[in-house]
Amino acid sequence: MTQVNRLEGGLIDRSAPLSFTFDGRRLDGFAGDTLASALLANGVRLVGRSFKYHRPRGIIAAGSEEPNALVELREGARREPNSRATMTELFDGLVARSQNRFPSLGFDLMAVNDRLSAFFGAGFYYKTFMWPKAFWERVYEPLIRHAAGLGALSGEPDPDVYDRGFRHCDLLVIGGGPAGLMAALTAGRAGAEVILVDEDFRPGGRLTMERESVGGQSGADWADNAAAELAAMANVRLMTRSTAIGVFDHGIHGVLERVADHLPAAAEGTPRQILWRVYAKRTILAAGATERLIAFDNNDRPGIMQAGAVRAYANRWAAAPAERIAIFTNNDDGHRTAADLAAAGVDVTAIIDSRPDAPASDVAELFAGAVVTGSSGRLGLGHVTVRRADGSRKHLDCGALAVSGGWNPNVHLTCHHRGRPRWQEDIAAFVPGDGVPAGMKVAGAARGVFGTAAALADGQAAALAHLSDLGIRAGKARLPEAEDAAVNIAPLWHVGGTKRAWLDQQNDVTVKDVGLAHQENFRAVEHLKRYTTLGMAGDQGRTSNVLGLAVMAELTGKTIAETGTTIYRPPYTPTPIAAFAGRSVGRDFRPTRLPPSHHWAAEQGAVFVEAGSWLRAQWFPREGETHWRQSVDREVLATRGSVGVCDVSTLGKIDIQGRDAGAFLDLVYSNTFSTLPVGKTRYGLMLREDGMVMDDGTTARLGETHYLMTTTTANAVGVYRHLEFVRQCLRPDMDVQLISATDSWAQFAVAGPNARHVLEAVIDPEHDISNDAFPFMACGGITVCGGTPARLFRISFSGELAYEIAVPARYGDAMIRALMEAGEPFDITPYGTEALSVMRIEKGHVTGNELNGTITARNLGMARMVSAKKDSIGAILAGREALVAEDGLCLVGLQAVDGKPVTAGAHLFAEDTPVDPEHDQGYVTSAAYSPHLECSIGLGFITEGAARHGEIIRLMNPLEGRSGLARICSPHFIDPEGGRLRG
Amino acid sequence: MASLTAHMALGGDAPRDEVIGGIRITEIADTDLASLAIRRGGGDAAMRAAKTMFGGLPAAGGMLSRGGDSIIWMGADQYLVEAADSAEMPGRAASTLAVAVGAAATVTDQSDAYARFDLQGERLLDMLERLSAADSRMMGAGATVRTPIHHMLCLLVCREPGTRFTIYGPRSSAASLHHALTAAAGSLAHG
Repeated sequence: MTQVNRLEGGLIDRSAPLSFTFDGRRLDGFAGDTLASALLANGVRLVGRSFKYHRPRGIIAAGSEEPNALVELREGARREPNSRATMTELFDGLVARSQNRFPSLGFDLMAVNDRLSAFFGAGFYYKTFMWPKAFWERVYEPLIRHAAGLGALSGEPDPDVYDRGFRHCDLLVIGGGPAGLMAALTAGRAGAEVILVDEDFRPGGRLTMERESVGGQSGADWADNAAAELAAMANVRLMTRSTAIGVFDHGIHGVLERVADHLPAAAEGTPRQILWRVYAKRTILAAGATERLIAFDNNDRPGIMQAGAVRAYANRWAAAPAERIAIFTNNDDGHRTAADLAAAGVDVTAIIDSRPDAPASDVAELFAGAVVTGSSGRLGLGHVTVRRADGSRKHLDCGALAVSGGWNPNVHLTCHHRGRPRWQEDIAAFVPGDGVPAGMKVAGAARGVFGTAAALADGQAAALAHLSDLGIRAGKARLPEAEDAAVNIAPLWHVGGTKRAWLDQQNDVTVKDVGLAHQENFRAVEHLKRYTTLGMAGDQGRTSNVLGLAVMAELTGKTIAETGTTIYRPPYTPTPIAAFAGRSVGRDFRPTRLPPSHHWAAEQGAVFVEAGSWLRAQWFPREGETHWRQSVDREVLATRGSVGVCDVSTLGKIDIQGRDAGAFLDLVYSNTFSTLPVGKTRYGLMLREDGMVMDDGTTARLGETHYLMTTTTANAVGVYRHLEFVRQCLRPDMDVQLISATDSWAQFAVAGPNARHVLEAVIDPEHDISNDAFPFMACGGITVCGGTPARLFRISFSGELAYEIAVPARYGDAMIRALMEAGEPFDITPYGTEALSVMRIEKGHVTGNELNGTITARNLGMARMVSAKKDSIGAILAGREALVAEDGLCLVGLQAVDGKPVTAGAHLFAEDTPVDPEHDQGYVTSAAYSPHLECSIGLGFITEGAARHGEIIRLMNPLEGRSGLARICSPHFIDPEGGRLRG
Repeated sequence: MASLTAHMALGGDAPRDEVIGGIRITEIADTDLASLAIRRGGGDAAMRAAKTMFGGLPAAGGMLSRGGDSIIWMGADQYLVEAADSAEMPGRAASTLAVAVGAAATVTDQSDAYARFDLQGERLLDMLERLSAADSRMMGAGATVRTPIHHMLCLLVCREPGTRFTIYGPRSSAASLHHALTAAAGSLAHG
């Protein structure tokens, strides 16, 4: 047997041996072990190096509060740094490595930091590395960043999947110790919907770690039976390996379930972890308590542990940290550890009890009124020095020291709504105070009710109170008989010395650092925390905070109650970002919307671009085209030369009906729609309340009380939300009904001189679409391809003779194929968003680039569209003095004159002025190469632009290091009279 | 020109139908949908028409069914009518409804606005709790809720408590919604 420190008994399964490696060394353990218990059983005390000073560190705790034993688990892409060995269930083949050391754990070159500790006190980085100034960014910061942190990520994508989930219950019980189990049993038996979450893989809490009886059986057996009863109830969900990480509003709790962390890997497609959002009507926090240490010189040596943890390792995991163990305590609980260790056959060297009236011990030599003043040993504890009550000193040989400084109730979740814990003198600990989240009760050790019998009763009482609140009848069952123990604590926070005594071992904060904070007047607890980083590590100071503020209280001469405590924030324990992301990663980060012709476009080899959540065809490359410009130029020229087709289904379509539909549109648009004849379409400009342009688009009047509005693709959702706001909040008196029709219709723009010929081939012959019968801006219902209902709009974004034809979305794929077939004689060319953009820039049509939230109708040269004859949203504020100034920005066209491309984002300057904000005259919003004009063109805004056509202006783009010259011109580069679209 | 062929929301010629993790996920294409929005002052008339057709107007979170047609609450004075698709008369739900309610309500054909997936399986609730914050365990037959699923606003309809539900989602996002459903079904394997 290689497990030199393995004891008899325990709750491990000796019939299931497991093997694992630590720093490449093969070790053995059993099912039921944690990595920490298996390491201890194998005689491994040194497991890591500390954050700042690279001090040798070992295991301190047996639960999630572990500050030191952070290791890297697994290999390759699954490598996970900073994993707590105490929370890692052993599995066969587990690979663990120590971290924050070079070249090895035993010999770490960075341990030189410890020698230089005088320079690395609290806040050292505020005071050093100040000179020379230029060194900060280039030398000091990279250096510090390199040195900081513990383990490292693999840098590869995480191969695991993470789920999110939602659960509902009447009562959420957090913690599966005696209080939690009893609460869940009480509520479960009453028929309430109960969820019990416990972070351990075996419910029972301390019952699994103590030698005591509950209801005539061992505590662990009682817990097993209780868990089995709960698991059998249909109304109870027992969630092990699940940590409640936060309490949010309205009874919402975050619970991280570690579904597969105890396995080499999760099964394909199944989650490694699930972040549950639990909606609970009521909550019982039964999170237990955490033992704190006592600070003394060099109290961070591997082997110096929480007494309760040493006891837990012996009782539950049959593992001891060393053959000879001494106890250092200020309360009765330390004696319990001594008794349990002795019962397990461990040599208890001595009990050093700081209380002069310490109870006698029959298992070890007792030093009453004595303290431990220091430790020694290379890479692990060898000796401790004891100062007896009479001042004499004694060295004790021991491989481990079990320290009990008293127990802190786990009040963390009671603070998540800014609750402030309250100091309770008799147990020398903070207990939940005011501000506990609504609907939450705290039971058992978490509110300072120590002892098993008391916890069972407290859990039951809390459940009964909640059930009564919820109107669920419940009987008060007889509680199982259990033990209780008095606390009997005489507070002792630290033993004065000359060397460094550690408080926060995860962030390397010492008693001296607190002294420095005091000296520099960072005395308030919140300042103390930030200045020293006490309690700011991943464990949120669960073993250190109270010690730190007690030391500060001593220095300031205040009581701890007066000093107060910092509070805790979610998450209770470190939670992977991946768990928050869930399935929203990579390509699935957000859902994708596919236009109806997507599959056809993919067959054509289209290059796609994300437009909001839409995936749109950007261009359709043809064989031999090696550059996107070749494809786009071809698409533009083909469309203007004959005919092109483009899927425009992504534009927002809002169906507006009701007796007041026209008046409603008059209100939301700056121009008038109530006068629009049925069968006609009109361009509309929509302003925000502040007078800036919100969106534009065309709206068709399909019937007397029926309109169809189109919005830009980008603003579809925002405009719909705005309209609903206006309908529901501003004008609830109006009879208007809104519904989105975006997804219902597949819509295609057919543009170019031959557009009508193509459409005539698909539109059923009874519909006359000649120029006379269906002129520019006409619209109406038609049928296509032998009876399929459709809508036709004669509108043009390209400036060509153009139509948009819409069919129910299910026919979208067939429609594009029919249009392509009908257009074959005219060499119909599908075009993507890039050609669409080129053509609209050539035509001077604005889009999201121009409607950037700072632009008014006047800036666009559309001041006349803000009707003065009626009230409309934004009309009043559009008239603000600064917005109607004569020298305001004005939309213009820009045409490159020096061969350099016009680039969007460039700012405009006169040729002879400095390039600075003061001389900035405007900016470029859109730019494209115009194959029609054979040069680079753009749209932009420039002061008094309408009067400056013909002027040469400088384009400066310092961000990209580009500059150029352009001629200001009309934004309508093509067919300014609009003859083509009316033809 | 040959007549146009309809395609499924997922893009295929035929609906997708598969069983993953014990959950059957079926794309349903033959449902006629129409939106019913009551006009101001049209409440009584709309209620009378709805009474004849469905037995009344459902309360929030509810659905009423009669003869294979159902009406689902969608918002204040807004309902979604669900009817079996008729190949001879597409949009039958909308046209029948429009005639029935007259000027009391606005009717809009919504048949192509949604993708519909029917879900069936013994462990369906375990799957649904990975997708939606809705308390699907408490939903009885005919209970409905509008709920976001993977950032998409969906409509969840309980057909048989615990084992048979329908999810309606935006048609353009059918592929993303289907992916979310199959991923959730696939993740049930861990027990």
